[in-house]
Amino acid sequence: MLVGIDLGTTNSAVAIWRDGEAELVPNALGDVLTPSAVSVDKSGQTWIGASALDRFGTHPGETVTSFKRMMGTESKASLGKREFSADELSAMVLVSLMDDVEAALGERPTEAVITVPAYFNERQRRATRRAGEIAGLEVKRLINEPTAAALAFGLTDRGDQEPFLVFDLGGGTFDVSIVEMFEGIVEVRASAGDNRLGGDDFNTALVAFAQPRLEADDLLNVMPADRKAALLTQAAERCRRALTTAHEADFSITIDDETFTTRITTEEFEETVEPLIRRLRDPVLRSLRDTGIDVKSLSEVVLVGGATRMPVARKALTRMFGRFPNHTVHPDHAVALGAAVQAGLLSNDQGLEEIRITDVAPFTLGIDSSDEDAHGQIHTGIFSPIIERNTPVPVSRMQVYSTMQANQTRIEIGVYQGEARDVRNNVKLGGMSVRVPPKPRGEEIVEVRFTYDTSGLLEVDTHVPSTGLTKNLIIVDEEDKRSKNEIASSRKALEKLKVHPRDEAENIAAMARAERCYEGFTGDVRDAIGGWITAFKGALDKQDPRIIADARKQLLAALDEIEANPPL
Amino acid sequence: MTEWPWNVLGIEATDDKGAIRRAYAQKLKSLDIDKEISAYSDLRGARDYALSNVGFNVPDDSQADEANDDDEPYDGDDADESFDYDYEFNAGDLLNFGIDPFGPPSLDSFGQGHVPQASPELNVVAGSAEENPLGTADKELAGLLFPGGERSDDPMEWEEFERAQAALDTVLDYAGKTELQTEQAIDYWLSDMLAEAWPRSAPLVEQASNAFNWMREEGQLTERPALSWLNARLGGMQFHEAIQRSGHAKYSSWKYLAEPGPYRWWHAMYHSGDQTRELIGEIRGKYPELESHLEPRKVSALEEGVTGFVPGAIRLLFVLFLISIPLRHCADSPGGTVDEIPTVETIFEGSPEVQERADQLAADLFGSDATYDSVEQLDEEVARVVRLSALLDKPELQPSERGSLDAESAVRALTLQAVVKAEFEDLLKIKQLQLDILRESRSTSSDACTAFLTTGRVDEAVTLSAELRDRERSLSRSLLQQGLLDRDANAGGPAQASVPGWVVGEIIDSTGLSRDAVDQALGDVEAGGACDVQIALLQSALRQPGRVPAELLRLQ
Repeated sequence: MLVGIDLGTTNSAVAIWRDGEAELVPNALGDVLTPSAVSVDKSGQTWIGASALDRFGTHPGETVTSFKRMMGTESKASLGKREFSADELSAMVLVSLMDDVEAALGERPTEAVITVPAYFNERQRRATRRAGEIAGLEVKRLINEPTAAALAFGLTDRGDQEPFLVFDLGGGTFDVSIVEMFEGIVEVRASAGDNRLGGDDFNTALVAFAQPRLEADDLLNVMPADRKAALLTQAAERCRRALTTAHEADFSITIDDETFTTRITTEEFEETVEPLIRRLRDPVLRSLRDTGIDVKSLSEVVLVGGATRMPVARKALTRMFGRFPNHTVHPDHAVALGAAVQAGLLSNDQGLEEIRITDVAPFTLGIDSSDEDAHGQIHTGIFSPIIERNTPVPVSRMQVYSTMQANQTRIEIGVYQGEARDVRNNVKLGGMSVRVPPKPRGEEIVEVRFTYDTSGLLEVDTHVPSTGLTKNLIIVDEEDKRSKNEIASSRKALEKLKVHPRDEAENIAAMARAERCYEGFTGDVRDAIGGWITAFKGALDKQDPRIIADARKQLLAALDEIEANPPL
Repeated sequence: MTEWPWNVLGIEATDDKGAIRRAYAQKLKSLDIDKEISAYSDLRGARDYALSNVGFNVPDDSQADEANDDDEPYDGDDADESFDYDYEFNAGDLLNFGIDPFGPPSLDSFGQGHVPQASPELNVVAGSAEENPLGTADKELAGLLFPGGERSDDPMEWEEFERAQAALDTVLDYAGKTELQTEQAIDYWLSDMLAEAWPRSAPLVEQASNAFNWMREEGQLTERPALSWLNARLGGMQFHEAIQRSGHAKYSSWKYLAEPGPYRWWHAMYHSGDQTRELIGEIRGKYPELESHLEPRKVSALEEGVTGFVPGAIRLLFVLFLISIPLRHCADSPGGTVDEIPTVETIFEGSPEVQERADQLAADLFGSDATYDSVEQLDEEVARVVRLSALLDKPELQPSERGSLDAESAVRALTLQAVVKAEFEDLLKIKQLQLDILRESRSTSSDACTAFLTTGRVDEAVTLSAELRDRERSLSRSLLQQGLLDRDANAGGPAQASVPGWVVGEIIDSTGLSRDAVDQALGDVEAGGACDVQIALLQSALRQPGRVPAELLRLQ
């Protein structure tokens, strides 16, 4: 069974194509969004999703969020007794989504279309693919998030659309794509982005602004760093959400029964995040420039991603485009729904056979080269592009390079991805060495062919015409060289972790939430929450599903009440 | 009938966009693009070509004319356009400003006698001042940057600068509020104008760059030529500012290069030669305009050192580097900084102890009757080496540190390097000395010998015989008296020399190495067997000095 998965920085979602429609699958708590959060304690007990997110404040050393930002890097998160890489953590979220599908449909998914930010580089894409493999999924295709959103948007009316712009500002990444639809063809014309810009950065900026005003530094500085970070990040997230509807909101934290609060106004927030807002401009301009389309001829600006809810972002967009953006698609659901459409396309579902998607390569691909200037000085490390960014994929291009020195016997080919003239500022994907017969300078040549497919797989072929020697390299990065066995061992290790039985998920989530609230309030309210927790534990001990369900309902209602109207 | 692109699309030539798209969509659906890569590429190319030529696809005159009209930006009736705030920018303007939009920026294309054909103007199509949201700020700015509509190399007067600043504020403020397209037009207009007006525009660039985030494009493949130029200048300004602060890593090199005066080899005592050359390279490569701040004589002398870097000359460079090491020791010790080094003289004058050590050193270097004063009379620069060594030769230093401070190595290097100008008799003595040092090093270990070859320093483990030292002393003294212990005097020696076949034969016989190995060792002092080869070479050459080319002996 083939599903579509949006593996997001903040939230993940899974959707299926059924009866001519894309449909989101709810998790054990009945929500279609599962927070991308994982918590593992010392005994190997594991929480995933909402309950893990609630444990972020109470057990920061055992909990991790926003790990999508670590994709394709060496960084690892240490939880409980073990270190986890971003692909393993993502795999855990994927497994939890697979469980949800199995529970809802009675069949476990085996294949998936997973979405990635358009501006994810090769390494990040590979890490995503690996996450799927560790989770036991065959990743049929990686599709770009704005492309998926465009599919979801386009299929709502199925009409032809002049070029429109998808503006996808998520929790950790920012993408812009220009897409055109006609005659059932969904054509991505250009993509640009910033894979280090998202809602998380707005939180960071807000923390930097608000923290000095709390005057709680004495207490904060003696805290463990992870706890401090969790406390402040959560406060920023709450404050930022409140600011989407209110003119002012409180940034407040509770430490040892003491609450510190500072009021943030919309104006203050706007000023604080101004540098981030300015970073939204470059990718937009770049995508427009690359397609030669001017702002006025865009038919729509489609908003996707939770962070586009921020009024400050909408305001900036309205100014940039001189019009109000379109928010007909659900910013959190569109990407997963689009992934399900792609899944339907791949399984040749009826009703979709008339749709074709074409995408572009988001980055320039090329090799390391040297050149000689007019003064006879040799410059090395110059990036020589072979496939320019925003070229439609799949694509195959060839270029010819010649020797720089007399009697040179090897030509080293370093394969890079990026937009900088100096290769050191680009991402190195791999390399190979080609033998050539010794000849006077410039008389030996090598043909280098790059072939880049729709899933973002790059193949490099070289051919030396004088000797007829050919060589082929499928770009794999160091991480990818890990054998299948290692992926299997990673999978085994994850299987050893104890996950709560699915029918207990609601109780676990309720308990984690109650504990978070307990930490977040003080005085009488805290005592009251303590009492509810004890009562709920008592109900759990009775092991009667009906009693437990009633107790849980009461607990959640009480928590809802208290969180909606904090008695400060 | 059907030619490309129509044969690929499978339709007759048409100007109907819809028909072209329908044909493309139909063909695309019959393709598996993952497998038919080149077919997809052809199809896409055909469609793009057909769409871009809509209006010209059908060779029908009336239709072509009609389509042409749509493309004309003006229809000749200016009155209709007066409310159109379209900020236009085109490549023609770029060319007027002397920027080749397709080529790399070069210094030549800016500010060298180039007169723009028209002073650049933000192209508000026929908008009057009241309707222009910028008021007259854009024209004011252009007028100030191009006085009388001409490019000018004169810096702005203070009063002009204030007006320009105010106008720029207005422009940037408007750009920050308007929509993307206009903002971009202002961005392009401003960057081109500032680039063209450089250096007059220099004080305004940073503010404009911050507003439009120009530095983000730096080093990108798609960096606009005007920005590439401005970013380099901006980088240069920032670099110039940073390097004049004493905290900068290359401050001492900069200070040295910026100071007027001729180059002297002992200058290396005040700065690291390598670092200074690196700095020159950096300035040449990135900020050519900063070179006008540098003393050209020093720059060219240091550059020579780089280009003349042949194996024989390694020693010379190393001496420069060697002498720079004491300087670092001094800089690290509390109370001594790089800046205070030039006052070595004053410390020296005030310390009889150091003077005594200097006399001892002089005797050790040039014979028992030599004193520091006698050396100073003969050669001020050699005296400086002696003085500095005496000053730094502190008893509390570790043996390994003392090793790096010795005047002996410095004078030895100068002696060996005197081969360029020495009389023939002295030349043979120098070569013999070199051969003997090599032999004595070799008898200690082959590493010691290689070390001497590559660095010019006798390894600590090697103890030179008293006889050899005596011979060296009298030779150094003789050269000192002739004024030949001087880098400048010995500049311009041969950069390379050929080794006659019979010498090569003798080397092969005496070392037992293969022809290839000998060839390689002759070219590379770090190659295996290089030491033995050098010894054999010197032996052969000294046995029959008249049979080898003079350059071979005079190679430093």
